[in-house]
Amino acid sequence: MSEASFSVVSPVGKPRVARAVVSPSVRALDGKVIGQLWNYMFRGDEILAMARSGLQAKHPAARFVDHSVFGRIHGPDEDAVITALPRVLKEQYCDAVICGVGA
Amino acid sequence: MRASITAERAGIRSVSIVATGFLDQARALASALGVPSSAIAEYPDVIMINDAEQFASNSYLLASQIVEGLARPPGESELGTRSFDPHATVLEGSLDEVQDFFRGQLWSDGLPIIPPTNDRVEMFLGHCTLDPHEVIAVLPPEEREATAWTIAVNGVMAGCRPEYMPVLIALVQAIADPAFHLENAGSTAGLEPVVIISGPVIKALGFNFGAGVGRLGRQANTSIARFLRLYMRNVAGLRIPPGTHDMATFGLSFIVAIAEDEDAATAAGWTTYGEERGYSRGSSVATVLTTAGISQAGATAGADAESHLRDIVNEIGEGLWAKVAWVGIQWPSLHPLLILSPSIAQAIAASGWTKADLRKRLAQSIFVTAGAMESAAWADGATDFSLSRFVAERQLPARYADSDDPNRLVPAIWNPDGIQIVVAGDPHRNRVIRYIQAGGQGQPVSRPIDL
Repeated sequence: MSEASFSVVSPVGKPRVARAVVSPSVRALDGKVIGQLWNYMFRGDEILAMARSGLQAKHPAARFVDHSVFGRIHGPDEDAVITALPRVLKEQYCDAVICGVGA
Repeated sequence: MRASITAERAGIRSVSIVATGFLDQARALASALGVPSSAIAEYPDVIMINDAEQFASNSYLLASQIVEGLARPPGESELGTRSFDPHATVLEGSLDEVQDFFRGQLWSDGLPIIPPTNDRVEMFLGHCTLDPHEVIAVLPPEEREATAWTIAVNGVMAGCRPEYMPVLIALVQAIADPAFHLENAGSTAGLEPVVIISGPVIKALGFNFGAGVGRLGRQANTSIARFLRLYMRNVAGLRIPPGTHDMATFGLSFIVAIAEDEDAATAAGWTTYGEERGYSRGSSVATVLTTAGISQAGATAGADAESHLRDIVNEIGEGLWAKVAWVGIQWPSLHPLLILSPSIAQAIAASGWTKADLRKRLAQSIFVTAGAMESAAWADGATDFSLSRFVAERQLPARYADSDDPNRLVPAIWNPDGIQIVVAGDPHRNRVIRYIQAGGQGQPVSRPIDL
């Protein structure tokens, strides 16, 4: 039996080429400001608090900015919160960010 | 991850806390957003089932991973250039070879596809006025470009007819609307889009709106729904394992498109669904919303509206709407879809009720205990959900927190306007079916169909 042959094209869309971002390493945490971001899900407030305790035990001079300063990064106000994030991080002099929780 | 990536783009090192089961998704999302080296600290378990001791132990262990992630040297400075020619032949082969290749690439839904040849794609493009490669939107989470070309390719694969192309375009425009929140469509709830077709296109393209409206069997209803799920797979990137981004715990399969029995709605003196979405009766419209589950097709009886209201509330009201009531408060958005068979619409309308009246009475009649609502929110991971907080912040009426009794009854639906009502199905039966909508993800978005 002779079967038909098909020349087929791809169904996927063109990937939006994004330039990879290179953020500087943060090595010595003492004296650094760390912003804590939360999606208000999965007990993230407790997880961030415990992680903070763990970090402060070894880096007592690190300063933390509470998640409430930034707002809910997931939910009805998500777009506004994410849009404002670079500005708020700068206003808070943040050197680094801890973000939770993906689950 | 989106917040982490935003911080990275602002030049601030970030570490994301991610549970074990979501690591692949997090890495894929970071890569799609241009930060493939984004640091992750792994919570090594399922958070919501950990006891206090496990939870504390797992959380405390994150500190060392966070320090490591913050100190990690910068990753690649630039992603490689990605060449992409949509017209390029990716395979020349037999029907079986095409099926195997597409399955291997994770480009099919497991069912046989119609081979998307350039000739077939061009036939579809003959039914639209868009430039084939004009970017309609960039779809999350995989951040790929939606174009008429890719719509045509996936339409071919799904078994659509070329003349469905205007409907397919409207559907993609709808899910690309930021209000639809496509970026959350891969959530663990296993959400599935529901398509509702309105207007003259229903009869023009032969959509089923009568008996078996929700069944496979009519080409328009079936293939258009299949197309939408294929498009979400191939352009949005929502693929179950071994793919990424679709994190459905169980998941639903594609749901056959619903068309309204507009003649029956009109005969009852009701506005059509399309009119309720803000379009004229002569307009053809595609609406997409998501569902997290579908009820049984419960029977309701009686010659008056109150009888049907009682049965709807008893059979598919409290048990199902109540479970997601917290979502409607949190976002705040909840759009459950109620499909009434024409005889029920006629009986309710005969009591002088409009669709708006039915919505209002449903909202006044469905209650849930406050404790059950808060418990459902907690189990879903909304661990800061509190009715008293919403009342204190004036986002809910005071009655939601008029005592601390967890057994107090509160309305499950705070905003009746969100309830979607469609008339369809067997005109000779008295049944109602309800699609649970998932709040902020996949709220109804409509687009006109440019026939």
